[in-house]
Parts: sequence; C-alpha cells; structure tokens
Amino acid sequence: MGLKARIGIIVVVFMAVMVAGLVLAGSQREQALREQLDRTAMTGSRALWSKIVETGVQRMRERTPIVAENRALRDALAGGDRGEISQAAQAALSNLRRAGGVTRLDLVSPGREVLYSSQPAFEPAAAASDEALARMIERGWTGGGVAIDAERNVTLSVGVPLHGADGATLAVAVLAVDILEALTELKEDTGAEALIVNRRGRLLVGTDPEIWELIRETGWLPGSTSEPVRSGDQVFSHAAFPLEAELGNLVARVVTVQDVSAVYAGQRRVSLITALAGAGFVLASLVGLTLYLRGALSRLTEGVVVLDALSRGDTQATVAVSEEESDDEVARIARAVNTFRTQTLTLRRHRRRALLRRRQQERFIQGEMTRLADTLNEEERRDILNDLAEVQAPAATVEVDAAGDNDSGNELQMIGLAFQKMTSRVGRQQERLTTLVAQLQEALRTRTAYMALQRDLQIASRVQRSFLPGERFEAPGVKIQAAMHPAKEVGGDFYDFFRLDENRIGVVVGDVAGKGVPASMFMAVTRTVIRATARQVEHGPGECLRMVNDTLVEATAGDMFVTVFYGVYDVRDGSFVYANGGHNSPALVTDGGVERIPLTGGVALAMFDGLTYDEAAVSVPPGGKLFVYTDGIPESADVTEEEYGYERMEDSLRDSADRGTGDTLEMMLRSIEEFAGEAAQFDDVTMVVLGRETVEDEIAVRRFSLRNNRADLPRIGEEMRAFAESAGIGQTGAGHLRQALEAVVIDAIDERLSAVSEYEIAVSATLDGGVAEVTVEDDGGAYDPLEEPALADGSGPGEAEEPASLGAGLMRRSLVDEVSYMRVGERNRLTLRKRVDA
Amino acid sequence: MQISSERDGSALIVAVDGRIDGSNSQEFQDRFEEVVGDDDSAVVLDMDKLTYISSSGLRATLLLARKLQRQQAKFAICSLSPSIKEVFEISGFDRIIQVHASREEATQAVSA
Repeated sequence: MGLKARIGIIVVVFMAVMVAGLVLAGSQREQALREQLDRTAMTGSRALWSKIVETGVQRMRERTPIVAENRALRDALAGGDRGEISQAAQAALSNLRRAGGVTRLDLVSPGREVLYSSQPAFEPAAAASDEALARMIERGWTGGGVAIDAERNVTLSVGVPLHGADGATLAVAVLAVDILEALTELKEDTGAEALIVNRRGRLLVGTDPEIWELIRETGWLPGSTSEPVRSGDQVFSHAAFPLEAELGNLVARVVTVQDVSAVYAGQRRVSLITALAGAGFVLASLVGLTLYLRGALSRLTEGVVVLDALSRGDTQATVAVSEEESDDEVARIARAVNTFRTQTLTLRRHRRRALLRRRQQERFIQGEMTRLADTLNEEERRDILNDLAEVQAPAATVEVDAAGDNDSGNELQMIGLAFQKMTSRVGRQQERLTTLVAQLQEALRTRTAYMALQRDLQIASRVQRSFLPGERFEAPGVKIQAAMHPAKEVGGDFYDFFRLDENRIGVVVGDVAGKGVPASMFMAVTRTVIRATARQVEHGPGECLRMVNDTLVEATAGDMFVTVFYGVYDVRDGSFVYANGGHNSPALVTDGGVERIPLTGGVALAMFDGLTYDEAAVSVPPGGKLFVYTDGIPESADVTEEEYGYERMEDSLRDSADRGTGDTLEMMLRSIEEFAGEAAQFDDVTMVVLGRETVEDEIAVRRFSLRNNRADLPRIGEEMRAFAESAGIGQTGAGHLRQALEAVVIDAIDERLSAVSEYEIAVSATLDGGVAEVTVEDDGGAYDPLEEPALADGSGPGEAEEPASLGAGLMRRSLVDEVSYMRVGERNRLTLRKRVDA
Repeated sequence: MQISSERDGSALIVAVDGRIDGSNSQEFQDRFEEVVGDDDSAVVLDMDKLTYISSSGLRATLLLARKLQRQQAKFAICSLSPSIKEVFEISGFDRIIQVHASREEATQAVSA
C-alpha cells in the first residue's frame, strides 16, 4: 500500500472518530438536558396538580356550611325517613351546585349505610373509601382529597360530619366533584393532556382517552422510561407522578402526555444537516490532503522509480532536482538517490575494469597452457587442458557471484591455482622423463639385439633372392616372366630358368616346407643342386629329380622336404617335358581354355631316397602360356580364412588369356590382393609364366646383363654400339646414352653400400617413335640413385658448386631428357629416356 | 588344434582336430610323440576333424611316419577331407604313407 493511501486512511479514520465523538457527546448532552427538562416538567406538573387538588378541596370545604347548617336535612336525618332525607339532600345539592365547585353529594349513616347518593347506581356508594368514612364518622375527621368509589369513579371529595341537636353524629356528608375537572385544569395550565392510569396501565379517566390508546399500543408503562414514545409518525413526550388518594385505596399515576412530533421532526432535520456537514468536511479534507500529498510526494515517487531501475541495473534514469529547491526531506532524498546512482555507475565501471583485467589474465594463462599442450603428446595435452578447465572453473563461479571488492583476490587465486597445477605437472613430467630415459636405455639394448636378428633375416632373404635369376627371360619364340611376392617372413619358395642348350630352356619352381633361415638355406642348396644336375644330365627331368632327391636326402639327413616342378621347354616346337616332385600341377592356358597338366606321381624331394620320378609332356601352342606356381596362390586366405583356391586362379588365367606374360602375372597378383584384402599372408606367392611367342621384330630392342663389377664396364660400349646400329641412332645420341648408362653403373658400383656383394644388372634398350628408352634393373637392395647427391657423374667435386643427384647431373649435361626411378617388387628399376635422331 | 587317443585292440588311434600349420606343427609333433609309446606297433592317425594342413604339418606327419617306420611299427592315416587328400596326392606322400578312407579300414590294415 502506498504511503499516500496510508496517510489518507489514517486521516479518514481519525476524522471519523472525531466526528463520531462529537455526535455522541451531543446526543449525550441532549439526553441529559431532556431528562432534566422532564424532571422539571414532572416536578412542575406535580406541584401544579397538588395546587389544583388543594384549591378544589378548599373550595368544597367553603361550601360545607350549606350542608352542615341545613336544618331540614338535619331533621330529615333525625327522623330517619328516606324520602325526606332524599328531598332535603337534593335541595342541598341544588344549593351546592349553585354555589359551584361541588357536583356530587353522598350521605352515609354512622352504620356506614349509604343514605343518599347523587350518583345513580344499583348499589349506591359514597365517594370515599370505607376507611376514610370510618375516620369521619368515629373521629369527626373532615379530610378531603382524591377518592375512588365502588364504580371506579374518581373524584375529589371532602367529608363533613352532620351532628344532631344533641351533638350526636347523624351522618357523614361527602361532597365531591369529578376529578376530570381537575385534570382539565391541569391540561389548561401545562398544555399537555392529563390522564390517570392505574398500576396495570389502565386508563381511569383522562382529558384525551384516544391518545392513551395510541400510547398503550407501543407497550409503554408509566415510569418505565423517560424516552419519548413513538407511535407511527407521532412522538409523545410524557411525565408521570403518583397520585395521592387521601380518601381511597387507589394506586395510580397522573400522566401528562404531549404530542411533540413537530419538535422531533425539526430536531431530526437539524441532526441530518449536521451529519451531512460533517461528512462534507471529512471528504473535503481528504481531497485536499490527497492533492497536497500528491504534490509533496511526487519527487519521492520519482526517487523510488530511479532506485528500482538502479537495482535492476538500469542507470539511465535520474531525478530532476534543482539546487535552489527547498531543503525539505523529499528534496534531500532525491539528491541522495542521484548521488547513489553516480556511485553505482562508478562501482560498475570499476567492476567492469576488474573483469576485463581478469579476462586478459585468463586468456594469457589459457594461451600459455594451450601452447604447452600443443607441444605434448595426446595424453599430456588432455591432462593440460583438464588442468586449464579446472583453473577456469572457479573463475567462472566467481564471475557469477561477484558481489564486491574481492575481485582482485580471485585473480590471484586463479593464477595461484594455475601455478600449483603446473608445478605438480612439471614434477610428474620429471618423474616420467626419468622413467622414459631408463626405458629408452633398455629399448636401445633390445633394439641392438633385434637389429642383429633383423640383419640375419635380411641376409636370409637376400640369399633367397640372390639365387634367383632376373624376373625376365627372353629368347626368340619364348618369353618367361617370374614374380615372387614374399610373405612377411622369409620363406622357402624359389624359381629358376636356364638355357640347357641353344633350343632348350629349363624351368624350375620349388617350395621348401617351413620358413626362416633354415628353409631359405635349404632352398639355396636345392636350387644349386638342381641347376648343377640339370646341366650335367643328358637325360630328362625325371632322371634329374631322382638324382637331386638322392643327393638331398644324403645332404640333409632327411628331415626337410621340398616340392619341385621341373620342365624343359623346346623353343622349336613348343614341347614341354616335365617331372613333378610333389608340387602343385601347373596350368596350361590355350585358346581352348585353362587346364592343369597331369601330375606325374612324384614324391616331394629330400625325405626318402631311392624314389623314381616319371616324366610327362605337353605341347604349348603358339600364343599359349604355361603357368607354374607354388601353393601360396591357392592357399592365400582372406580375413574369414576362406582360401583363394584353384577356381579363382583359373578364372584369372582365363581373364588374361590373350595378354602378355607380364600382364598375366600382374592380373594374378591383383586378383589375389583383392581377394585377401587386409589378411596377412603366411606363405610366399611365387609364379612363373612361360609364353610361346611368334618371333618378334628385334630391330629396336637390345637386352643384356652385367655384373656390378668394373670389369664389365667395357661391355656397355659394345652393347650400346650394337643397339645404336640396329636402331639406326646417330653417333651423338648413342654416345650420350652410353655415357649416361656408364654413369649409372659406376654410381651403382661406387655409391651403393650393399650387403649383397655381387648382383646382376639387367639392361634393356628400345627405340620407339624416335625416343630411346634404356631400362636398368637390379636386385642389389633398395637404392634410389636420384635421391642422393652423386660424385660419379664425371663433373668432379671441384667443378660443381654443390653436389647434385645423379639424375640432375645427367640432365644438366644433356645426356638424357628424363630420368625416373621405380621400386618394382624387390628390384630397382631406373629408366633413362632421350629423344634421338634417326 | 586338439589331439586325443584311444586304443582299439592292438592299435593306437590318434585323432587330431583343427588346423596344423607353421605355428603349431612342432607342438603337433611333440604331442603325438608323447601319446605314442616306443612299443606301439600299430598306429592310426585319424584326420576326420582336421580342417587344414600346411607344408609344415605335412613335414611333421612325415617325420612321425618315418620314426614309426624305424621302430618297426605300422602306420596309417584315415578319413581325409578332400582338400587334405589333395595335399597328400600332390606331394606324392600318399605313396609313402598308407591312406585309408575310414578308421575301421585303417585299424584293420595296421593290426594285420
């Protein structure tokens, strides 16, 4: 509730109480006044009544001689004759009435017998009580006053004893006048109706009996209350006092009643006007007060609005207050509000500045910790970022409840937390580093051992490779290409092909059971024995395998075995004679399809001596191919361990039926790789494909091979000269190609630090569309001559400003146009290209 | 790979279960030698439950066969799956070791 409303209510209540008090006091005073008035009126009426009664009695007493000294009446009484008595009494009454003041005469004998009554009745009675009569008769009492007879007639009576001549009491005469006359007299004196009412409220006699009927209906009894009596619109005031009846047993009251309706109506009007005036005064006061308060408190209201806005954070509102304004409380409050607003603005500015400062620090710490995290590994970074989150977390909560001056404390707290985190982290890091160093030392020792083992395996692998011929063998009418795809671990697969004489070529594919160095060594032995035996023995492959088997059983104590397929191809007619020592049956690919050639029933070699090996023969048609392989192909498995199998192998061979030997191998490898997917292969995949070809146009092709030995260098000149002649290349171009090739071979001999001391370098030179291409292939360990700066480019260390790679050197000197290196399987392939004049 | 054995008359029957390859061929050889006593004269290797045998497994089998041959014991293998039978055929070892279609046949052959 607003202050204005409260003040209004207080004033209204106060005024209402005041007015009510005044009204109450007025009515009380009026009541008291009226009561006093009533009492005065009653006392006055009573006195007046006494006077009237006394006057009435006195007047009658003055008339008594008319009866007392009436001789005729005395005589009649003495005679005792009723008729005479009545006559005399009537005459006396007439005299009395003439004199006035008496209207009734009763005569009562000393025996209290009514001798005469002017009041007609069945049983005449005197207008005085028996007791009063007795006093009159016996003691000659001549009292007077109000009396009531047996007929309830109220009178004013006086008793007179009548004495005979002898002095004896003859009778008592009661002179009476109707009390109504006294009442009428009272009414004339007071202006109020006069009534006599008995104890039970019954009217005995009155000047206006009807008015009593109205009053009786309201239930009022004389003496019950002094309040005016209301009947309908009429209001009656009244006064009552007891009636003193000297001559009778009468308990009653004299009541005066006056119609005061007009007076009361006037009074009510006055009261109404007074009340209206009071209410008007209160209302006017209230309106005036409200207007005053509105004016006086408007500034205060503005101040409250501004304070409210400030508490919500709105600092736009202000209270307009001029300096010369009065110095009352409201103006002072307005000024205080404005001061408070200014202080709030200042405080907010301070707080914002503190917040900005803290944010800068947070950003700095966050930046530093993030930068630190970036230099660490994933786990450490996560830890650091967690620390950062923890450091920032309390800062965030502070921001929420930042209520005052403790901002600087929180800044320090955050920095302290950050330092604490970093300190413990640095400590842990130190510990971890120490552990890591120890582990690293241990790992280095292990690594040394592991490297030694690895070197052993590498040696084994190189041994395996070194015993194999190049991947390609070509002679007029036949092309042989081999591929070996080693499993992770070095295995025991091998292949070989060699010329037996001008027209016959031996082809061998074998698989030693087992893996690792022993298998590798055993493979080398087997291959050497086969090659040696095959060249010596003029008999066929069967005889050769028999001898090899016996030799191996003898040499190896028979605890390993090797499967060997050995066949001899004749370039003249495409015939192929073979013997199979427990090896997978090769496939023959012709126009008619793919079929595996029959087994010859031979047992795997090197376990049981004295075995024989049967021979069989197939014919390879022109364009046909013979595909020899190891069980690594059908047994290649995918992740579900399903095997590649013979069917897929034969499908691939069918797909590549019209392709060359190289494509056949490549498609087979791709097919296997697609099938196996991610699954690791346990076995080597080795395959040799022999293709019978029509004799090709050899003009632009020359192939030869060298050892990595300086002694072979002169041959480069001879071979390249022959190539240039056959291809029709000019002298300059041929000279450049020769120099380039020499540089490559010298680089290979001088620069390569190979574990394999001697290896073969296969060179193939072709001319196609005016571009000479020389391909150099070797298996002397991975080596890219284009990566390392070369010394052997002939320029000498002094001439070049900085060492250039071999390729760059060759091109700078315009020996070739293009040099590229490629790692193909286990072999290095370097290709030189040069545009030459025909 | 699991190996179990039982006797049928004078013959010892060894059953092998699972795969035999380079990783467990030595284990196979050792377990087989544990099961077979020096005085056993008739041994059958039941390959009914064998799913795969590599060249190492083949070699282990041959070494066991030759050891039994030296102690004058008769040895046979039986119940080969088609792919394993093919391995034995290709390598020619079905000519060195007796191969039977069923266990009963093999038992009879070695017990005779």
